Amino acid sequence: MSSQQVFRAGVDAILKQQAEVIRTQTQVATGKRFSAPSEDPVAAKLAADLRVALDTTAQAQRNGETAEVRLNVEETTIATVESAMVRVREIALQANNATNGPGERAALKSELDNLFTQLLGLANAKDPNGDYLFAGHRIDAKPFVLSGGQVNYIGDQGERRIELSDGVFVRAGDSGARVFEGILDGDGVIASRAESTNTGTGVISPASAAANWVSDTYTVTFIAPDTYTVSDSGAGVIASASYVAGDDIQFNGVTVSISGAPATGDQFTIRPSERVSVFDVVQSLSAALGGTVNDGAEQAALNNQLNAALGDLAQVEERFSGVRATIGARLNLIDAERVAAQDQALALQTSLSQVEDIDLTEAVSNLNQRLTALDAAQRSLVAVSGLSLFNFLR
Amino acid sequence: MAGLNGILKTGVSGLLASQRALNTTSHNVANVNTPGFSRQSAEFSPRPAFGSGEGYIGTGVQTGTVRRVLDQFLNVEIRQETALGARASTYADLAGRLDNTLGSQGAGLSQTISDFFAAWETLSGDPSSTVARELALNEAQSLAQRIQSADRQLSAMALDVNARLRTSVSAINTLGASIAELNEDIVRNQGRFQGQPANDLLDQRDELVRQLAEYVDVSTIVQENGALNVSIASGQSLVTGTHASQLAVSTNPLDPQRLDITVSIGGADGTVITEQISGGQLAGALDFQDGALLPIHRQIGGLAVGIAEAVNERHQLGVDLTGALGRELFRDLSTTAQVLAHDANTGTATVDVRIAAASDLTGSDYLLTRNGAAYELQRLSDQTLVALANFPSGEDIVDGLALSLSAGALADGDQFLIEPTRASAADMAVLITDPKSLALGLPISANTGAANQGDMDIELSVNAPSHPLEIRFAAGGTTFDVVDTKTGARLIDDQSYSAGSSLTINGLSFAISGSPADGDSFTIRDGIATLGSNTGTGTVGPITVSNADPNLLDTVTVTFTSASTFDVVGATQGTPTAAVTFTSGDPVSFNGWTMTVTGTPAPGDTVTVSASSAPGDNRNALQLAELGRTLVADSDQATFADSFATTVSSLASITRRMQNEQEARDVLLNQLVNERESISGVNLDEEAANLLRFQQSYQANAEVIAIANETFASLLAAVGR
Repeated sequence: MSSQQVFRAGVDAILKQQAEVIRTQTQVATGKRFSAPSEDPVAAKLAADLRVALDTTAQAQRNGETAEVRLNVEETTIATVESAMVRVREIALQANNATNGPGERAALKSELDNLFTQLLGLANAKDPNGDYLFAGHRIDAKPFVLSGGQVNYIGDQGERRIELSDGVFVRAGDSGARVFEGILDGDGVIASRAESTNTGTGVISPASAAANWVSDTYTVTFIAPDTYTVSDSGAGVIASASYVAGDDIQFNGVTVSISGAPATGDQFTIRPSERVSVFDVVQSLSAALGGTVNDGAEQAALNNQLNAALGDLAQVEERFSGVRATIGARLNLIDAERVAAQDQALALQTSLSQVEDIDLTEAVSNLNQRLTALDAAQRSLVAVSGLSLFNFLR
Repeated sequence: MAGLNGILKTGVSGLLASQRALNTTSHNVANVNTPGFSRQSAEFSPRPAFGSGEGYIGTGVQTGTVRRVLDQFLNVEIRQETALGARASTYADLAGRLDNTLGSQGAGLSQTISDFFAAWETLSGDPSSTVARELALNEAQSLAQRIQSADRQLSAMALDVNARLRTSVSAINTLGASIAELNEDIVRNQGRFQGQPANDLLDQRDELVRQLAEYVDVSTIVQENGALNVSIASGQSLVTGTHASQLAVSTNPLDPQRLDITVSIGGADGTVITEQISGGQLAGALDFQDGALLPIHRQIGGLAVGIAEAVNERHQLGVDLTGALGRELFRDLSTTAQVLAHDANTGTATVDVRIAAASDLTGSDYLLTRNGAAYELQRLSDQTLVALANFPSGEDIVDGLALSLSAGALADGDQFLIEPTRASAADMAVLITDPKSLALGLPISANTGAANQGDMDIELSVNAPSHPLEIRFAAGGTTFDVVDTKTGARLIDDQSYSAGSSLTINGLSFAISGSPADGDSFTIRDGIATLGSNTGTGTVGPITVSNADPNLLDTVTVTFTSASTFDVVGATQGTPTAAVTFTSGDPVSFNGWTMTVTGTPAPGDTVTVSASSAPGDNRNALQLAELGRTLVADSDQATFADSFATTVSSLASITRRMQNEQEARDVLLNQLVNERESISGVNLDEEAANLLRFQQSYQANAEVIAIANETFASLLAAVGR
């Protein structure tokens, strides 16, 4: 045992304890178990992975919020549209009252035209970013344009999808085409219309189609006030009968009835439902209200138009409630994903903390232990190196 | 000789011996702190006795020699452990520095990578927002900068390694020269005093050899005359007798960024000993360079190439706010592969290497050699020869690299080192500065006819040239199908085959020739055509890649003729176009796009696919965001962020391992040094006791002289007159 060795052993012990004190002190100061990945490669990789996963859930939540804002704006807008449509329906019902004079009809028409303008405005609504809500991907151009009395959709059918979590997408909006256009008129399958050239007072009821009906355009033609024929699109007569007002007329799975007194040559059309827009429906209602009612034939024409409009309005309402329902479902999905993401974030945070955070109590007590050990090492070096035989040779 | 005179002489011999012992002890005390000093002890023996009829009478003491107290084997072990410890400590030190900077920032780089992809996700929520576009562009910038800065750190470390090599070599030269000088002194001194050991010189020499072991592995042989021959690096002679060889650093003939260590004896050309060095700081620095620094540099370069390739491909399939097709977002890094010619090459060849598919890269370097008539490409990571089918007359694609001879010819023995990705990260840059130029939408859109009776949902995507294709022959090799195996869409169905006809699909152009047999198949992936277990002679000709199908933007109308068939008008690519069978949910692909229609179309319903550019379109942004979660790195095993995290993690593991080794070596070395110290070290207490002992023996011998003197005096007095 050389003297140098005694001294060196003491110094080594001190240096070692000092390194430990610094390491523990860093842990206490940063609250982290390691400062360089090499101190614990496995935990460092795990912590990095967890942090990326945590970021992903945070991003998913932000995406959910973005989608939610847009969908909320859309839902509010459609709710306003719906209440406007309720008023449109009331107007149609009021107009159907035979006691209305021209003044009442004019007032109703004027209110309806205002509602039309409101509807057009709502269809051209913007989201909080200033983008058109119902323009598909063409969010920078007003999607519904009134030109020549006709509303045209110039947006596209694109719909912005936003990713809520890995592989789970939500449509953050609906194109104008999906909301305001492409509504099947009549009852969604079949529609009945009176020809505008009719001179009698025949009023046709809404048609209904059996599941196995033969889809085609049929024409009911009165060849005499008490006799009608039914022909298909190929002009072939498929039925012919004597007319009894209000009786069911049935052919090829179609049921319809006509009341009033049709004149010879009057025609009624029963055809598969066609795609119309909300604006078409309101505009044709407005046109009906703008007509004159001077005789029974004109009254019947009005009634026919109002009947058709009421049927179409029911389809319009169904469209809007359908869109609102899917918005509700999407908002629910966003909510569910948010809850899941929050749970996941919490779990990830807990794991991350377990992986990289120190137990402060333990670390502080460790630090105290190390300091005590350092103190002991320093004292023992002084004590041991002070021992020398030379001290006693005096 | 017995007699009074004898007593005096005996006393004097004891006095002198005690003096020598005191000298030696005080020498020990004086050198208590001298590194490498071995405790000395004077060795005594009785002087030859004076024989007489009365028996042998002792004549005192003589000092035989002054000996070093030491165990030579311990010194050898300490030297070996020092060399291994210095290697571990240098490696751990360098790796620790890289781990500290790159590692902690590296966690940051994984973060930057995921932030970059998350930015596209954010953009997908609000694609027209200039602010969000600026942010995404900033994320791209910071990704490029982070990768560049990682590259700079790695390059700086490479310079540091080289600086360490130079310092070590110069230290070794100094030590070698000093040892040679000491050899000379020791031989001379020991010769002068009949081979008495020149203790302090020997200690000095041992200490210098120990110091030498800090830089390089050392072995020694003692010569008869006392000289020590020193060899380093597994047997390369450094000191022979009084001559020291010179070590030097020279540039590696293949890779100018690397240094080789050479040793030259007597002015001859240096022998390269880099590979033989196994200990000391030299080995630590060299092993760190090969085991940690270069692999990580290559991996980060590969990552940069991969990100640039994948993001650019996707971005170029999109459309930006101005309505133009997307441009490259990052600089194309496929031409950053380094081809380094050997200094001794005599040929005129210019070898061109391009990265054809980043996901196929192996992370290895390659050595291209002309060996007689053969051209050999060796993958250096596993020393395997990779087959070259076309080089030098054509292009070969191996491990994601396209290798060709662009000019000249290789002479026999010419060598080229191919470093595919080492220099790539330095060139990472963002090429787009205008946020409007981010291509977030797709350039085409699908719209259903206004009068459609049926209900359909449509999803449309653009096919990337990287989609793998499968070509399968049927009907005795007269017709073939082409399937996009990524989307599952049948691009070409039952097309009749004419040899040599060329095809352009998803932006890939190639020709099929020869006579394929029934059931033969070809897979085209990452620019390479692979044959199935074919029996025919069909081959797929050179494949050229453009960004997207040339007819992508054409207007194509799909008209349903029934709920299960449709006709197509306007499509240039894709067959058949009439009475195609429709199944809800199956992909339909023409002109480089794929459309999935779900629902029930009615006869007469139409879907029109046409060019589109709309500011609210986020479809490409979603695709770009998706890239961050796709397993495209490390041979399609990891995401980009994960790939980098793994790189950092492997560096951390290497560092940890080296730190552990260093600690273990330290413990061993400490034990050995302790052992040596306990044998050779100076213990002051022991020396103090010895001082007392020798002082007392000196006093006793002096007393003998005094007594001899007194006796002599009393004799003189007795006989005195």
